Amino acid sequence: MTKKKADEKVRVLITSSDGNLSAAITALEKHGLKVHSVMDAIGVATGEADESKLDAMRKTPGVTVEREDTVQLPPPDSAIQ
Amino acid sequence: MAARRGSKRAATSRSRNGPPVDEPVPIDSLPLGPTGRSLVVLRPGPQSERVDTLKNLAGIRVAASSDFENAAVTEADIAGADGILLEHIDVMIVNGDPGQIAAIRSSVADLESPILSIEPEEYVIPFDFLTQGGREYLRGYGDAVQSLMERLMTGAPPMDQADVEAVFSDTAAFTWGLQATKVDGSACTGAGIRVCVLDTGFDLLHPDFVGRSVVTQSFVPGVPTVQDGHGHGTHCIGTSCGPKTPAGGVRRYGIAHMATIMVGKVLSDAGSGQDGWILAGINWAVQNKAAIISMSLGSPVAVGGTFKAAYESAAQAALNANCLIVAAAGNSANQPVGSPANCPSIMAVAAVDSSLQHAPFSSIGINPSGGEVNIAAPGVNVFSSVKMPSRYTMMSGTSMATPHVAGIAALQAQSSGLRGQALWNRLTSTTQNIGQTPQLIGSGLAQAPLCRLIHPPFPWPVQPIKHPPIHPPIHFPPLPIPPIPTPPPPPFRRSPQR
Repeated sequence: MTKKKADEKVRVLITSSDGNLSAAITALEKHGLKVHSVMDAIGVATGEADESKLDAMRKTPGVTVEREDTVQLPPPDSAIQ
Repeated sequence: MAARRGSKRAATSRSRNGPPVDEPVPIDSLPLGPTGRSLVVLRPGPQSERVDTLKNLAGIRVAASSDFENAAVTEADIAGADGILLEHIDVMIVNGDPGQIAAIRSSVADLESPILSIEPEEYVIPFDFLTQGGREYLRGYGDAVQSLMERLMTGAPPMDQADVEAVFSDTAAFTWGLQATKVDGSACTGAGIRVCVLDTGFDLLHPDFVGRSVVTQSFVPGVPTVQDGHGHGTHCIGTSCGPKTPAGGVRRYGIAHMATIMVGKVLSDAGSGQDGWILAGINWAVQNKAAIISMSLGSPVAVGGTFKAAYESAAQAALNANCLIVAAAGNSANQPVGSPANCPSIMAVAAVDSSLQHAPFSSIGINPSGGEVNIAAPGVNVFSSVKMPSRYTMMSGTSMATPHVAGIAALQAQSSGLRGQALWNRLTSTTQNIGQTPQLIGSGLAQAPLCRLIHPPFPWPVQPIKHPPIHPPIHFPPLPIPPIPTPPPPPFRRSPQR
């Protein structure tokens, strides 16, 4: 699969609801998940996946797959922070 | 500390302007140390279950405060009972023999038990304040307890806002927020407590923080230092952990002035960050045994929106590791509490103004399952540090309210030894009722502890908290807390030889 044909990649957050994060990652890697980081102390991993695979990934039992979003503060001179 | 404040405050409450009007309390007559009874903190739940637990566990017969007229439990009632359940605050006072106390203590480790903690009851005396308006403080406390009990028992509506006429303003000595939260009267320092602020970083060259213990880590890709090019993070750290006596000669604006500051830069100098950076910051703080994480950041959530599982997993893991996360409710006015403050295991902080009114911009509790406001703190015209060369500035927002709660949490952690969920319970059970609905301000206005010395010394066994399993609890060894220094013995003087 060439890069041109590939789906749009989205950044995702992986959470295991049964306490087995590494098994969750293994299962999701079959759907093409590319893991960026595994944060053992909080039970969360970050990674990247094809957008079209998200629905299939979310059907994996015991796993929550969420899109990684951006947080934005108001400008420094904004009246309300 | 609530009722009758408007009219009484000027005359008696912590007056700095005139002599006290009542007879002084003879210090020598006040008892000290443990009372011999124990305070048992309970998980909220059905009363019958909680009473039965104590009966089955230790054979302790428990009366509930609602059994007494007007729920006015007196000292004689307590002395005459095995145990009194103060069901409205989830605390039980227990008169037990050592075997019974040991049985209760052993159940603290049982995750299914409704018992969260047990500690010795102590006589509480504000040593530092008996000479500085301490009687007024105690009287105000008494008023508040009385008022609270009356309102709880009679089912009276919350006092109307006219009862709360307190209007604070910055003085030469303290910001209005430190006065409103009683930080100005607290002897606690936050010493030994790690407070992690996840934000735009910190101005490491700010002259008010020279010599402070600071641990730093950047999670912004390509940015190796936490140096704050925005100003928001330096303001938040100023409020939560700023100095007792600012080098700039300005009024005190910081709360936990001896806490260890952990700076996690999770937002760029443009004020933006990704969930992954913020979660990495939480992971770092938990691994490095922060007791409190303060997050003045977030994104709006629509009506009907839910929390993110990743943040909830992180927050549960943090609580299990004795780390409490507080986060800004958001500035969406009459819209729901934002993310990640809308996680059930993250304490959502609303903002109030110097009249102790809910700030119009402060998001409100609309969504279920964590979307409620948990606590309120000063968040309008908050004076604090900012990056040089400005040095100080006023800011408003729930971003400013959040570090007030973080700093007060550090004082409560130091004072009580409590961590994690127990610290959460302590914070929300020691708030001041300021006469507005929980939808706006949660449990009320955060209040600093007077500073009770821990006796016997910490560590009390701090138990992991049972949550719905997302992953196994993480166990850390107890935090090394240095012993409380005892004053040196008086110099030995040989009596004159005869």
